[in-house]
Amino acid sequence: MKIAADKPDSNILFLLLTEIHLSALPLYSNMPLAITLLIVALSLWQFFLIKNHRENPGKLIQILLIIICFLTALYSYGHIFGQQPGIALVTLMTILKLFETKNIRDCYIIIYSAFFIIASNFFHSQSIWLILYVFFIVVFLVATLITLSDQLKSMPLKSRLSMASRFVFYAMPLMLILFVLFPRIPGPLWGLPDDAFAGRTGLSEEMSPGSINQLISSPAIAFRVLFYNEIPSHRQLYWRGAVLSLYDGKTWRRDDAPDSAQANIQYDSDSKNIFRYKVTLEPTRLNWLLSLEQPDIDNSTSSEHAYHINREAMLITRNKITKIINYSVSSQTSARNQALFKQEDYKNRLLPVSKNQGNKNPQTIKLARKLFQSSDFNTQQYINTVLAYFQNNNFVYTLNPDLLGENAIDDFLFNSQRGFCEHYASAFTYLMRAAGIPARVVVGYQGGKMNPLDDYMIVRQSDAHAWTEVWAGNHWQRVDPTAAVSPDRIEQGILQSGIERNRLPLLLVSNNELFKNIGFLYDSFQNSWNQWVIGFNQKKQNELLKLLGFDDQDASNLIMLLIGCLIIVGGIVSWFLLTHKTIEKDRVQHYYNMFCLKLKRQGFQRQLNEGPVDFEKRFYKKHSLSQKTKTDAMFIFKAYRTLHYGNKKNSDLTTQYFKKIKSFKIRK
Amino acid sequence: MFTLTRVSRLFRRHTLWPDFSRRPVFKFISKRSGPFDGAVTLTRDRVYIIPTKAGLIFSLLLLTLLIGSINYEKNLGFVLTFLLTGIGGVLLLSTWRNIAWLELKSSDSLPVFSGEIATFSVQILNHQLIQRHSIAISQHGVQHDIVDCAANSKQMIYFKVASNKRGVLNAGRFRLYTEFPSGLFIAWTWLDLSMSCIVYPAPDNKARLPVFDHSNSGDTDSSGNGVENFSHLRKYHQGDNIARISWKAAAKNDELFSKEFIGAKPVTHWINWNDIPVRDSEQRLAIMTALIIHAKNHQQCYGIKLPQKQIQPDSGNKHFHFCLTALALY
Repeated sequence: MKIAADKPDSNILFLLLTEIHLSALPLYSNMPLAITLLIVALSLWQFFLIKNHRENPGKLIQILLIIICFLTALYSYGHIFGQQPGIALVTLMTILKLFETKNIRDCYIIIYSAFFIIASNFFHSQSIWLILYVFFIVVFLVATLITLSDQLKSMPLKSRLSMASRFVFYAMPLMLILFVLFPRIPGPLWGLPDDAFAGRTGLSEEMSPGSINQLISSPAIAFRVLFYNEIPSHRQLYWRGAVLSLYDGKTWRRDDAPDSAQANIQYDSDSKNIFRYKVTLEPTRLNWLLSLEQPDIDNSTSSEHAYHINREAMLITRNKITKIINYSVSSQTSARNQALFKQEDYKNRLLPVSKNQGNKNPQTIKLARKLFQSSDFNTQQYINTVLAYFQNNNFVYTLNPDLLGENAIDDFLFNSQRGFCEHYASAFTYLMRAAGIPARVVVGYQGGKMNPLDDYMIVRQSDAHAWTEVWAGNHWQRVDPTAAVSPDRIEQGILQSGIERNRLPLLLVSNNELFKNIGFLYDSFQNSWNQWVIGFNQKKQNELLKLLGFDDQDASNLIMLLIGCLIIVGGIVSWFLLTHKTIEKDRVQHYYNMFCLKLKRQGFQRQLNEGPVDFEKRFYKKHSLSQKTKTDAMFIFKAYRTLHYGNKKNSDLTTQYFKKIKSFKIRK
Repeated sequence: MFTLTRVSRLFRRHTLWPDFSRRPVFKFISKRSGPFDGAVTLTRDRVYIIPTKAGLIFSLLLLTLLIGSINYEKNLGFVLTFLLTGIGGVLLLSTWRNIAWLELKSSDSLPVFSGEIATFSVQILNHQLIQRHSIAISQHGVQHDIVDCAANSKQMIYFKVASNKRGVLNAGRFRLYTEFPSGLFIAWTWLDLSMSCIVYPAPDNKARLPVFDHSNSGDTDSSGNGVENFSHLRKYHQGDNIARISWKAAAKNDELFSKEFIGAKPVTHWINWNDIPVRDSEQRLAIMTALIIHAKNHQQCYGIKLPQKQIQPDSGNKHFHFCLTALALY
């Protein structure tokens, strides 16, 4: 109730300063330079003050510092409301709090703020490494709580840390039960700020030269797929993402015009080419999902995450994907999408116009006319002619394309001739449109690798790809111009495409089997982590409970179950905690205590003020003992005195001493 | 050192000692807090525990983290929240354990003169193999002492009560509490171990004190009760004047020896209630106290006469306290 009012000593302040930094350490990489510099400067100042036992700066300077912090945040982020500036400000304010720490209560406030800072780490990452790190910091913080309440300062740091880790260890079973059984309310409870889920690499809704290129070096996983029936071959693995129909001469964009029309896909009911699969998608911050071509809502398994299929055969969700989700799809890759609507038809022929002189890329349009003429104005033949044009004109598939000018397609086709998939897709679509054929760009992923350990297919960011869909023969036909330049890219993946390997993720490039296997092992582990920890939600909770035999799962039953389990596990934990005879650091003393306990059970209790000599004397006097017991006891007492009070270590004697006490029995 | 228990035993024999331990002091509060005689073990029902202010803020922190985790749908946020909840539970139990199952024994407290501060000591006996940390004692909301208690050992803890009038000073109820190991919870117990302390009357400093003269000594005594010349050593008996113990001899042997003196038999003085020329009885007692202290300081042999009681002349510490106790309880 009464908290000591004296100023905490410098040891505690050092501890707190360290802990603030440990808590915020993973955040530093995401903070702007100005904020990081301010944090470092304030910490160094604080360090100097504590070290030299200086007085804290006055009120005026403190207010000035607060203003500086806010201004820096305003300068770095442009605003101070929102998640990112919020985290930065909490960290800064916590460090500033150290400047005015007068009593123990302020220390508690700092510790609580540190817990907040730890929690804000989860905005950036929810990896297993982070949570292990968090456990470590929590031990540290609990040790600080112990330090604060150990008013006589009698515990060394080591025993405080070991005590704290014991507490965290005992808390684990309670945590587990709460995590599994605590009723999950589907969030969010209120609108989230726009920057709530910042900083992820992945596909975007736009494609301009270089936008896919930059994903290639990322080994990050885009999504995982579990196939329920057969696994498609590599060349069938076109994961469609967004369909981009609008082109302004530089960037391809989605046509977001509201349209309730649906795709018109002619499914063949007997076809064997139906792939049924479940996708575990990492957060994309976009409102569309990925699927193989010609997707359909899988009726046999209800999808965990709801979506609908629009006229462009994209999978659209209601909200942006901000966490790991699971959804099920079935795709009949042999089916045909025959939906072409009036509005769409018009837009898919549209070419960008520059301000003063008609269409952009005049050379390309000239080329298109020439090639279309030479293919007898036949769409299919024209496609082949254009692909042949790419093959025969020394086009290079590269991660290091040249910069393109105002007429990007002209530049690419007639000057640099070096490009990555987005260049080829863009140029090809343009050539189609220039001939009056509806065509559009599709961005997504191509490929995927099976993890032999858990049968999940892994699709990485480095598999990002772009291709074209052309309206030919009354359906949308996929044409991948990259395949014309680098056929191996499609057959065997990015690794075999002849592209610069030094830009690719190390995990993919390595030929070492062991390294690859460790990679697979790590990934299947990561997958289970995603499935069961990060992706644990109401549905998973229900599944798990059903598995355990609890069928009736309304909220009140769940709460009863939770309380029941908490009582049982809490009981077990408290039994361990309360009857736990702490393991003495001093094992000699520990064994002596055991020995005394044995004697006590025989009705011979050591008085608390009785040393070993007096106790021994009394022991011989009181009992009619057998000679064996007497010699054993004599040995134990003597060994105890030598080991406990003497200053020599004697390992032989110690082991003998332990043995004798273990086997000691009073015989009369 | 001469201690209160011995005095009280003495007085019980003389049936002068009122039975304070049975007096109902805090009837309105749970009987659990006592008063008890002697020793009490802090069993389950005697230890209370509630969160401190810091603990309440901690629970607010948990609530905020929980709402944040739900809102942002961060499962690791749930992990952290529930881990901290679990730690809170463990800390609750640990705080409770830090004080539970201690055995408390009342210890002797030294008599004081009225107006001085009496120190009461409580013995904490830790029979468990766990170390207890930061156990504090308080009375009327003021913390008096804080101690650690090693595993399987005992420790003294003190609290102080100001005395303001002669007689018997009851220590009253005290609070033994701990916030270790987190400061988030406070576990405590209320106890009255029926400890008391004799408060002697405050000596009257203005009293006219007699001058003792050694020259008119009476007969000599060779039986060892004299005061002048050292005669021999004999084995120490309980009750011997501590000033006469031969520490040199004690250092050489395992036992204690008392020094015997021969020579002039001490002069005996009577400090008589009726001789004090004041009407007010409290003031009379104050003057008598001053006289007793004066006599003791000059190693005189003195006795006291009270209206209903008379203590034969003697000297030494034991006698001194015996006389003052008689005055205190008059």
